[in-house]
Amino acid sequence: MNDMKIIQLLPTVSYGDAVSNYAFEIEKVIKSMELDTEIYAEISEKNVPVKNVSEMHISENDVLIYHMSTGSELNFRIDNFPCRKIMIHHNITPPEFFRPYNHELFALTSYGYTGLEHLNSTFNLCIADSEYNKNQLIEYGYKCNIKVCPVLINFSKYKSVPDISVMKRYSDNFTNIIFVGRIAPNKKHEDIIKTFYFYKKINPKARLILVGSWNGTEIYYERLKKYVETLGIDDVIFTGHVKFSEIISYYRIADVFLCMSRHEGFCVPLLESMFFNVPVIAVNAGAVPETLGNSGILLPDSDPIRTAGIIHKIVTNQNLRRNIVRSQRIRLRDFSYGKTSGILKNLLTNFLKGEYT
Amino acid sequence: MNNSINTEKIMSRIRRELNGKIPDFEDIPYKKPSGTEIPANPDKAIRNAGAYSYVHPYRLFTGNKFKILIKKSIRKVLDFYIVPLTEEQNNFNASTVSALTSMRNTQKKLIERIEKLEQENKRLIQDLYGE
Repeated sequence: MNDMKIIQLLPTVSYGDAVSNYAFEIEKVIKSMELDTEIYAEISEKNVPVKNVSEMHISENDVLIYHMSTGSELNFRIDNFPCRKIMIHHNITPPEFFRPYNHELFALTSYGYTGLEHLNSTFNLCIADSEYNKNQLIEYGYKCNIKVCPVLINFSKYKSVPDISVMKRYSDNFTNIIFVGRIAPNKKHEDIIKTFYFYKKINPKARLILVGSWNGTEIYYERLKKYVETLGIDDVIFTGHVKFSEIISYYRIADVFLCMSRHEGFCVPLLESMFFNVPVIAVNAGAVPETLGNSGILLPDSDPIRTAGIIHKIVTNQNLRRNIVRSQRIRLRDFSYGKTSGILKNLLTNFLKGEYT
Repeated sequence: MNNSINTEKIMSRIRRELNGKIPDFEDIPYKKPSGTEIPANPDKAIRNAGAYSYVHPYRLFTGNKFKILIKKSIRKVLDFYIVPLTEEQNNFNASTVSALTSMRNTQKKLIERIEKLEQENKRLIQDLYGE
């Protein structure tokens, strides 16, 4: 197995993106195993330390780790690579969510699903972020070994310094409800806003902060803003794209994390909330129940009035809040860097020994 | 900790007084994205064709209850005509996209092969004439 390299390949790499962060963490794990590794991408942001796929040379000895998260021409090329292959499946947002707002994203995600099906007999091993993602692979006809390994998150980076101006601006006697995630139709921001409307009736001193970029979903964002205007509610803040230090600040000033998303392949912000001791309330959809485990509050549906009542209970009942946070701290241990990197190392070691080929 | 919490009096009052009376997100008008452009890049064009190849016989109903009722009635009346038509169209679209994708993949492989052969040819000419 001389000169073997483990090559990670992604359609796109950018700073702050969850899949890209995951790839960089995997790179560290592979290096800790004293193996040679490189990351390539079809499209990458300026100054991100990855090479373009056009420079990639791959031999029979190498191992390719392909990150599946979107539509890409790579999905139709990698079956020609002469090496052993692993896929990490992050899931693709169902195209129907984008149909009313962005034709390009609709086409791209549809293309992603076509690619997902096309690749169903290409890989020697698939690693899914969650059981939910694993089941999707089975549904798409994947017959190879499929193992579940949660997203690898290095929580130490969350201990860095928060943005002081955000902390100052929102550290007042208001109740801060937050959601972190790009402004996208599958995340159902309208349900968060509707819940907030009812919550404001109980507690007028409340603020809703929606942290995330609307790049590509401008029409949906404009519609959300109109919805806020129509409902006549104040104190709804759309932050747009923010720096990492600002994200930390938003978690620090948050009283509740409210997630109404209908499609999540894993949902990293749930773990971030757990890390910052922010009680989580989330709708039972996608991989959310799996990531939450027995922690947080899992909603059977998006009933806004009941959800507003639950927020009120959590904000006013310190015992309840403490219990929720405690349950989340316990759950978070399952996703510690040591545990998840251990699972990944085991999978890679066994793969290199030829266990899954 | 999947607690079931009873809504309090205040919540039942809100439910009684406000629920069903506040505007629904579906009623909020928005600017529809402009018609799909046909991309010059053949891969993107095929990708677009694939994405739009499935024509759903029904659109999501939006608007107030009265509008929805009217739209539902119209749909019921036209069912016999629309459904078989979209089925036929979908069969045709799926076959076309599949054929286009396969032709494009073959074309790409041929381009690669021609490029390799041209390079090989160039090398052989150089070897032959010692240039």
